[in-house]
Amino acid sequence: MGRRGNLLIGLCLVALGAAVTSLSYFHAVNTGGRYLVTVGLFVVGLLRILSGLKQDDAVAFDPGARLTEHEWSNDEQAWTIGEALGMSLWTTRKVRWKAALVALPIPLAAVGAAVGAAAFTPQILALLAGERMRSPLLQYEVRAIVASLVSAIMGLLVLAPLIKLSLAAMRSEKVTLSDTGGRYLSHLLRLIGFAFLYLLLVVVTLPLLSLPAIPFVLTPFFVVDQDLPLIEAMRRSWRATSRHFGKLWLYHVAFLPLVLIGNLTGIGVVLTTPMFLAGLAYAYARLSGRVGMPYFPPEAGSAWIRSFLRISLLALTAVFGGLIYWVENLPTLRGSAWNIRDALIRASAIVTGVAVIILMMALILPYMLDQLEGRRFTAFVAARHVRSQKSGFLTVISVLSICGVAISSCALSSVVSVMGGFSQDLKRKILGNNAHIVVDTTPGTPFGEYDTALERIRKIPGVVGATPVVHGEVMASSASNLAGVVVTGIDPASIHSVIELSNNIEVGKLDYLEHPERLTRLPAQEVIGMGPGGEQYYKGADLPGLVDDIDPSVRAVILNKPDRPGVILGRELAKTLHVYIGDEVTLVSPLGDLGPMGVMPRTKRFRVAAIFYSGMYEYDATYVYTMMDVAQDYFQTAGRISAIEVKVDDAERADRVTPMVVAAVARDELRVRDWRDINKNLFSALKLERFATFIILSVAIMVASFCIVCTLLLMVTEKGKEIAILKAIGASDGAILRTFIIEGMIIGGIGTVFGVVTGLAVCTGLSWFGLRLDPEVYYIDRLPISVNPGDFLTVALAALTICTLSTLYPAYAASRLRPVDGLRDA
Amino acid sequence: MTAPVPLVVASDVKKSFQHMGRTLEVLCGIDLTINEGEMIGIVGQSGAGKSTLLHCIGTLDIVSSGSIKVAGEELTTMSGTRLAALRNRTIGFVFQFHHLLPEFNALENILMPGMIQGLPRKEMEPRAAALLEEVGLKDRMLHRPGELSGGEQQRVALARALILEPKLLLADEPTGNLDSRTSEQMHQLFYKVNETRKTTIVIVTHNSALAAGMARVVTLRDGKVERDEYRKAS
Repeated sequence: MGRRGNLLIGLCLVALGAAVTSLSYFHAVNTGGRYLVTVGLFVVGLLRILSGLKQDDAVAFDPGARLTEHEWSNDEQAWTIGEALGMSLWTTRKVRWKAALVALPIPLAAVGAAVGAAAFTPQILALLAGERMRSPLLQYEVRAIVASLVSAIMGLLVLAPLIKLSLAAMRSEKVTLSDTGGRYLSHLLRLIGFAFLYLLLVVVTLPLLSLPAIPFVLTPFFVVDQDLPLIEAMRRSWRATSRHFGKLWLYHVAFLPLVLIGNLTGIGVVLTTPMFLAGLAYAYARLSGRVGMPYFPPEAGSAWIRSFLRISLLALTAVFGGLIYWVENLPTLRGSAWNIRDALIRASAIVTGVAVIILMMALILPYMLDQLEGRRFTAFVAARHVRSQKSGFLTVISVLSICGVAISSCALSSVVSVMGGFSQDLKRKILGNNAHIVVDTTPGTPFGEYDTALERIRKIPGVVGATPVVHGEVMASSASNLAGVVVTGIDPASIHSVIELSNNIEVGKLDYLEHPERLTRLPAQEVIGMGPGGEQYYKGADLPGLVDDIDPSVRAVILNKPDRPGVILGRELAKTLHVYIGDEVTLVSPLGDLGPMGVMPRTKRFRVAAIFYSGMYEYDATYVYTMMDVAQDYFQTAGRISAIEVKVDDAERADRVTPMVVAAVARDELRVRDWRDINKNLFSALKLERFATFIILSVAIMVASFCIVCTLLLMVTEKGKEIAILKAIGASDGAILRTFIIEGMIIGGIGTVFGVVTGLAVCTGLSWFGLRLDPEVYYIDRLPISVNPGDFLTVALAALTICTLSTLYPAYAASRLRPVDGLRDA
Repeated sequence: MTAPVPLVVASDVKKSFQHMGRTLEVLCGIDLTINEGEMIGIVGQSGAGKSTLLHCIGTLDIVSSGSIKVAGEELTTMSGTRLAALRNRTIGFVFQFHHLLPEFNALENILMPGMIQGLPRKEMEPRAAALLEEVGLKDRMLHRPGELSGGEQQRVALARALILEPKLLLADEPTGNLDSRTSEQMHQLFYKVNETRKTTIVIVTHNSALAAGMARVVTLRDGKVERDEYRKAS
């Protein structure tokens, strides 16, 4: 297929992926299939685009063609991580059948071990610790440990033959399977000793990420290839790797996803372990000088890194797809109890998704730099400076400055999203439990006649519903506790058109409010309350165990409960008062009647008809709803109401409807406010908080941009001679200035794009898969995230601006260099 | 025969440096006219001011007093941007240490002056490739300077200097770092360029073989022109 065809197909696939994503947002249906299709389309489309963009298809290196000349020496030779990855792919392809034959026992043993562990673990555990330890989680862990131990032992058994195979392939030597068995037992004993020491070192240095173990990683090669005793082999490995620690570490990091996938799936061990060993074999061959190998051009290394990244990307995407299905089959977050296994699965789905995104960006990066190089002189030189080999320190510091910008912009965009999520969540709850527009009276003015105003408000275009309410603040008391509450008298016929009370009821029925007499005759299987873990409490029999030997008059009192008007309480209030459906609650109002002893508080008994959960602690702890006529009767405001509550179709545009409501009411003494006016303090505090966080975290980006200043200044010093050459062949001061500005912008841009896109991936992952919060602490059960493209764009723009500003001084310094100074210094 | 057209006119050029509070007079009033199409060698002992004079003519350094005109334009009053444009279009440089850009391959190094001018790469590439062939490096097109020998690097530098067909080619000890055989090849290239392209070439050199082959040799001593000999080219 031609380049254009690839490009076109890739773009179509990515567009299709974007369409599917937006569809899922549009329907707010989060099905695993849709995620999978989206991710799959994106990855496949991207790979197509990449092959369409490929500049030179001729860059295909066959190491085999270059590995014919053998010069044996004992000198250390230079190698790069790209070569190691490339040789790992090449060698694996060459020896795959033999390696598979050798390594096949590993997955078989692993499967066997897993089956065995699954079969026997419960019995062993029961023997060891009795019934208490038989939790499913513990069994799962023990099975996993037993299975991986067995597969590790099997891995050791085939390590020596695999090493021999890899080295032989690299030296273009013919080797038969029987050859790989030479001195097998003697090697195996040393390798077991090494595995024991190595494992010990890995565990002991775990706080240091096991980094100190890396220098010994070549020991098995010295044992198998040179037949050295264990201690001598370890010493040689330490000596050989001492100056190549960073590369070996990077090699491990690069292989981490593939090895993890291989080990987790079991079958992949046939492939990933030999691959990993083959790359190490190349490093060994170079470092020990045991194979004379020709020079690989730098393009070969980068081409190999790209193919390796592509393979890792495909593997990770497959894993991601599997995880998505797994997550979709988990119980939903809401209402389910905390479970470490579920949390781990969700977390690995997020981490894998983010890794897929990062790999995709890493693959796109060289092509973006190629595009820049194809442009004007300034961009050409700047892009080449960024990607070229520099002195060690400068490479480290430029990678650090990219990381600094990436981490800080990732943090900034994620925090802004989480804060936006909290504020959106708050807004949703406030709007769900309150009217969008409230028409109420000022103190001392009665509302008066309201029917005509209500009818006129309902006819306003954009108004969804309007309902009259009566408010009053009283004290609620039960048999065991009391609390201050806000009573709202509602009209059940119209209240559902304004607030989501009926949807929020978790126990009981709105119906009981209208027919409270039913509360005295609740059936035994009626759910009357909910426990902390979501378990349901049933009402049960009225007279458990006392059916016959009870005095008939007492029995009559218990069975014939008096009728009381109904109330609906919030979950927290019900918890405070220790009441369930059908229990009695007394409301005590300070505005009582005058009695012989002064003012008597007015009291009235109610029966709990329903318990609601709104998600806002304040509402759940203070709001009480009852029938409007009951409330009017209780507050002795016969026929009068406190307010009219109005809901509009678009809450964001409530302020446009407000004037029409004012006109419809047409009474100056009434106050008309929308939800923004009512909650002004809360929302401005949230806005201020978001703004302050943005500023503070922008300072973090600024600090990261200092690193760019240092990088560029060092670059100016190091490239002084080249600046002089460029000036000598005609580059003006302005051109040099622009070159270094672009260079800094590329560094900042890479950091920003990596950071913001990673932040976007993390936030999207969190909103897809969810992060559970403890509802006892936060009163919400999952971390709210608002993935708002505008926020990410703002962060990216802010970071790019800061980075661009930071390039000005170094670029100016570069432009002021006198050509003759640079040439003379050289 | 047509009358010679002056390309470089230096009159009473003085250049001094401040060093540890003392003023070092490097050029003490140089008068020199170089005509179009000439090939001229500048010789003299170390410290005589040869390289400084070359840098001043090449606008890499500014004179303390006096005037230099290149292609009719006065250098001493020109802005930095115009000087850069003049260097780009009219002057080509070859230095002793070749001074190639290490991150770019041979072809890209040669394209660089054209890219600075904003010429499209596609248009330049055939010309650069032809130049590389002319200096005998057709197979080394995609090699970076680190992968080339000293002589090859110097030939790339010459090709780079010639890509925009400058009127004036300035070379500062171009064979100072090369062995005698490679130097001889370089010398032949310079003669060929002068002959076929009619480029004016000014070469600062210690190499007596190179100087001997040139039609005009200027000898500097203590910042002054000691001798200015015209001779029949060998």
